[in-house]
Amino acid sequence: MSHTEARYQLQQLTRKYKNLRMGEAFLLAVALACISFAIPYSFNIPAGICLAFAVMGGIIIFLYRCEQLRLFQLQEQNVAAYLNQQFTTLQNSSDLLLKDADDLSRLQQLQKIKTTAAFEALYPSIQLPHRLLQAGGICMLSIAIAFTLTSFAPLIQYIPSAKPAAQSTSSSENIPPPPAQVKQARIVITPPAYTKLPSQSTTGWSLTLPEGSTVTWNVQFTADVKEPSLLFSGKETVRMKADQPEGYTLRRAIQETGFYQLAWTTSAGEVKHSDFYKLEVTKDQAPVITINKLNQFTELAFSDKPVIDVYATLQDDYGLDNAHIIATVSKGSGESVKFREDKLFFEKPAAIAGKRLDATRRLDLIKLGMEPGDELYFYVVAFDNKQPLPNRTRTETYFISLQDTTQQETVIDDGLGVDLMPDYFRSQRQIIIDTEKLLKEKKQITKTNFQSKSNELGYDQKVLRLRYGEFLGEEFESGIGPQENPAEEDHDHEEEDIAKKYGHVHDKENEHNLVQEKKSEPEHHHHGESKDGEDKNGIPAGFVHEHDSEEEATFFTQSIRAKLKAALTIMWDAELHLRLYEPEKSLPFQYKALKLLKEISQDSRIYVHRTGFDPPPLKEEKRMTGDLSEVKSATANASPARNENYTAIREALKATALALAADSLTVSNTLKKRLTLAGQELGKLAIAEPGVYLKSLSLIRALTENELKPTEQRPALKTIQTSLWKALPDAPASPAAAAQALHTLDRTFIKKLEAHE
Amino acid sequence: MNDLSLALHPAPEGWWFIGILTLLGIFLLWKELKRTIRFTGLRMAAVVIALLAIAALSLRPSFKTKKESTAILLTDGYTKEQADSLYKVHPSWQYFHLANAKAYKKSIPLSSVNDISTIASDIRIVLGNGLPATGWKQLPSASVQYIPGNTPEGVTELHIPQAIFTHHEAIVYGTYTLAGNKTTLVLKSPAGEEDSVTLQKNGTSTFSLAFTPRQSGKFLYQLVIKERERTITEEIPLVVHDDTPYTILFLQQQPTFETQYLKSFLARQHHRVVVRSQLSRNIYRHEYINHPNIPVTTLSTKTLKDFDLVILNTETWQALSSSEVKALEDAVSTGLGVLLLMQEPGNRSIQRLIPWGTSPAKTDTTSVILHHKPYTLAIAPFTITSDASLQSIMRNKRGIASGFGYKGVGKAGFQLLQSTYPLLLQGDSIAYSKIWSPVLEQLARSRSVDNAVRIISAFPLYANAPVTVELITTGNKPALTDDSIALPLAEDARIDDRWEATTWQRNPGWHILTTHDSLTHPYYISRENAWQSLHAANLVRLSHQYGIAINQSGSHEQIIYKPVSPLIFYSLLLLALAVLWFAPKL
Repeated sequence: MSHTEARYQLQQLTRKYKNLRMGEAFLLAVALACISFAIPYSFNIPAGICLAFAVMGGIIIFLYRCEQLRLFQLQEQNVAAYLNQQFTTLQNSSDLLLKDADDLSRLQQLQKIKTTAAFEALYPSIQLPHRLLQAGGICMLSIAIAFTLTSFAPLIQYIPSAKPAAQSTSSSENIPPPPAQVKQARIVITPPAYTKLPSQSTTGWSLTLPEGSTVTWNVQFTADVKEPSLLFSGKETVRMKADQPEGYTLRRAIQETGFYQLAWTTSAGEVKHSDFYKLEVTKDQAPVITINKLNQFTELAFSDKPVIDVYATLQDDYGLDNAHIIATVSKGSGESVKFREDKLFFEKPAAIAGKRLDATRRLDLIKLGMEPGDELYFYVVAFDNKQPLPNRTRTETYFISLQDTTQQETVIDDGLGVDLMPDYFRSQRQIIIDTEKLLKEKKQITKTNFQSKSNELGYDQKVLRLRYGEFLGEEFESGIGPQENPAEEDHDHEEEDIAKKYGHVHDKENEHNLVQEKKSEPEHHHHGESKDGEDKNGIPAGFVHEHDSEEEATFFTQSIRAKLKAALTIMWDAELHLRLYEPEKSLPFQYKALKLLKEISQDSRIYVHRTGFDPPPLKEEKRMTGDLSEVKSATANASPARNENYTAIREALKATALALAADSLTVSNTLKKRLTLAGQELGKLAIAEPGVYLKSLSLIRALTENELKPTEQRPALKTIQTSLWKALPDAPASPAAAAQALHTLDRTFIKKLEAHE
Repeated sequence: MNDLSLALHPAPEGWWFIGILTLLGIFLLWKELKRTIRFTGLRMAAVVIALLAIAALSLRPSFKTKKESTAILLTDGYTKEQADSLYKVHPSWQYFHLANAKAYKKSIPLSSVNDISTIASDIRIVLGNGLPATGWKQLPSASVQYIPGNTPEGVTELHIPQAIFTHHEAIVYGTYTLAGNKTTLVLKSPAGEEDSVTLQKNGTSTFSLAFTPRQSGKFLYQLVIKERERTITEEIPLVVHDDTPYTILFLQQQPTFETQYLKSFLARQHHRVVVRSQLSRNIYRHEYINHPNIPVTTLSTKTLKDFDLVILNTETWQALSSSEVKALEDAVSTGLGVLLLMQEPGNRSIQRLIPWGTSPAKTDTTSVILHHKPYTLAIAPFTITSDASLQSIMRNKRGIASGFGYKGVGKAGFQLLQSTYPLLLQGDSIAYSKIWSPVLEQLARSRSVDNAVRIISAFPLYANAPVTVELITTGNKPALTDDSIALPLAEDARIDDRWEATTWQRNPGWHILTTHDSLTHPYYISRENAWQSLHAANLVRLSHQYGIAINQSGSHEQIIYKPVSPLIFYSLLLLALAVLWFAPKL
């Protein structure tokens, strides 16, 4: 590489650096421009001004960044200095490359040659510092932000205008005028104390108030009036009290949305009614609870730390009062489940209060006494500060289970949801496992040992058989211990069975074995008593419906009984082979028994109580005779009344339409009467939706009391018509067709058509 | 004026009168000749003149001339360009304009259509929107050319349904002529907006607006025409009728949910329903809902006469005895409707009722749009092959779900949809009614009444303009009153039982026509400046009927008879008689 080339490359580097940095500055400028466009734009500032903002912002940041990096003053020397700093191989001499050979001393020239060589080696690996990637990232991000902001522009525009409307007690538009003859009115809304909202005083008559607020009306009339009162929702009239000269007051707690009007009697004895005003009650909302960072079903592995953190966000419109976690630990492996319920409080914050808070609680599963295989169910309950009855919210139930590695296998078979087999004897599966283990170890252990183990297993098998026998009602053999006379037992067993087969099986509450029932001594005693012919109340045995007698004592229906019996028989065989030290022969029986036991548990699951119709027995002699002599033709008559709804509104609608169609509007007495009747029907609707119908109700009242000027009557009647029409529900169309009259020519034509068809 | 000639219009018919006069003249001349007084020549001349004068008085001579009509009548809606180009061709012609039209150069105003009669013979061309029928009838027929002006902008055609029933969707349709900005048409009921359409294409386009009235009565709906700058609100008068109940007979082998729910649906709507369910051979269960007990154990033409519709399924049809089938077929040919609820194609006997072919289908569900919502419904697993005689009531991509064909005056139809009652159970009785109401309406016996009144004049009707009413009645002494004023009726010369009357109303608003048997027919007189474009378009259509389109040369010359004043002949007669009287005295 020659010197000139090196110099050229140095220049290239300078240019490249400038370009990189300027690119970076440009990206930043674009980013700022986007943001400075989007923000004012989303506040509904004209696009032109926003654009100006953006351009200005962009230029400023560009210039600032360029100035910061001194890009405009950048010389090759600066790059050379940078290279000197970065690369020691250049031996601080890269600026020599910029100088002409003539101006250099010998030594410098020599150094230059050396540097040129070094530079040449370095050149491809020179990395100029830049932050182009970051700038690009910032740029993309701001474009995204700007895009989001501008697309939500209408929303932002809307929010400021919507807010005041939602808060003000009486909306600015459509304020109904205050009643005539009222000089001054002061209405004070006192929200319930727990809301901590201040009392509001208003002169507008239409009110929006929190649930449970007390409203005080203080009304002064222009003239002498008698008996002013307020009518609530067209149902209840409450007299106002005179408490000061010319002033009347009424205090009332408002619980439900509705409407009211002021009524008074003038000195002339005329009863006057004001317009209708709405009373819109804002309900106190129940708290909202969100549990964060937790799945509804969590299974902790054995190795996991048995600690669960519950993060809950609680919110309420007026304030929270209390919140806690209800946790239920279900304990018990396989055959017995116990439940324990705990009420746990949040650790942080100590006291639940305020409108919104984040509460946490650490659940230490070990401290809760959980062991592998146990499950924890919990939910969060929150109460707000509403008086007298707080609103309550609870979350879904969350499940946390500790994995039980030892019981992994039994999880696969879905036996009873709640397994109630007693756990103090080994299960059939366990015996199988042990038998298989014994067979495996056969070669390693001594013969006596093997035989004794096999005998032990036989014992286990017997105990199991006895327990299942207990389910069948073989309670006389309830003891767990060596059985002296198995033959007798078997005999008894069969006898028992026969008794049951022909006995009367009752639907018992506990028939499908939800709760473990164990015969206890007092019951035996009771049986004994009943056999005496009279129970302790002295009622003869024949008149008592007896339960729990030994003959009837069974937990299962016949089909399950049969299976259980079969299982017991097979268990006998299994035990036999085990006792004969032939575990390998015993195994097939054991598997059979297990299969049957599983079937039994499935069967008892799907069993439902039989209820309902028990058809009377069919008379055999009547069957298939085809005798219909008692079956007769039948006739039924019905004329359902046409349920015409809103009759008054329908009548009023017709009358209103006619009145409006006329050139000059006259409000006749008939129309007034119809409107008054329709108003009563509309009033019922207005209680539910005062916003829709209240205005029309007021207008009907004004129209019927001749309070409107002739010019106001037509628009008023139109508004009333609209409301009346809206009140009518949509209904299914009934088949209908227009009738037609045919003249002679038509009739002849049709006749000819028929003839030619 | 050219080509003068004389024509005679003799008062007494025939030439015998001239004969008598001639004889009388000869006799009188002979008498005068015999008289021996002076002035014989003069007296003779006087006699001749007197006789001639009498002859002329009775023969009424007139000059016959030919005259070209040279007037142009400008009516509202003409364009200046049209008038200019006519002026270029006929600069010497006279121009008249009606009161509501613009004046053109020195055109002479006519205060109303009735003034046309004075210049009727002169009018050669009518320009603009034209004249109402009363105006055209004054013009000489088949000789006046009509040149329409600019097509009126706005609603140019409007069809208002005559039979509107509560809760039935009705459609107002028409055409709109657009020139320029896009326009939105909104149909408003008293409760608010019902339907709207935006028109963008320039020129004339059709529109239709649907609405479902909830209440019977006379109502003014509004058509709001929103253009960019202006909003016009026009009133559409609608008469909504209550439905009238049908008498329906259900025949079934065993009760099904489908018929059970259909029956109670109809019963709730106050239709008269009779149900015959067969319990065993000859043992039936009868249900009479809103209907007196009548025997329907065996069907006969007599019992079926009282029913509008018979509903049965395939199985029941196949189980009917041959006499019952015959009775049913006879009843259908005289107007009864039969609805067959088909679950399977059925055997050949079905062909007597449903003669169309069937083909098996893969699907047994179908998707239909009811009430603007899609529904999936069960349907019989076959389709009916379409045929010219088959009219569909409900059809979709899968084929015809329900349809009918004519059998004489009556109709036989089928319904393939199965198990529609879950809609009722879901509380969607509106969708249910959308399935069944059209089927029952189409099939049921068409109602006929003895009297019907119809307004013939095109909508809109205005005050102080003739409204022509048609009355069809079988009564012998028909009478028609308009707001209690009796109208003179004229029977149609060619068609029996068809009468016409013309009425004039002074005030806008609802008016009621009442027939002799108190059938009422309300109609609405619109306000004076309402529906201007529609009125103009109506005039244009009418004027096209009356006026001729092409100017046929030569046919515009009119023969005009100018009678010679009888006063001349009378004074001649007087003079002659005076001479005859004076002559002896001199």
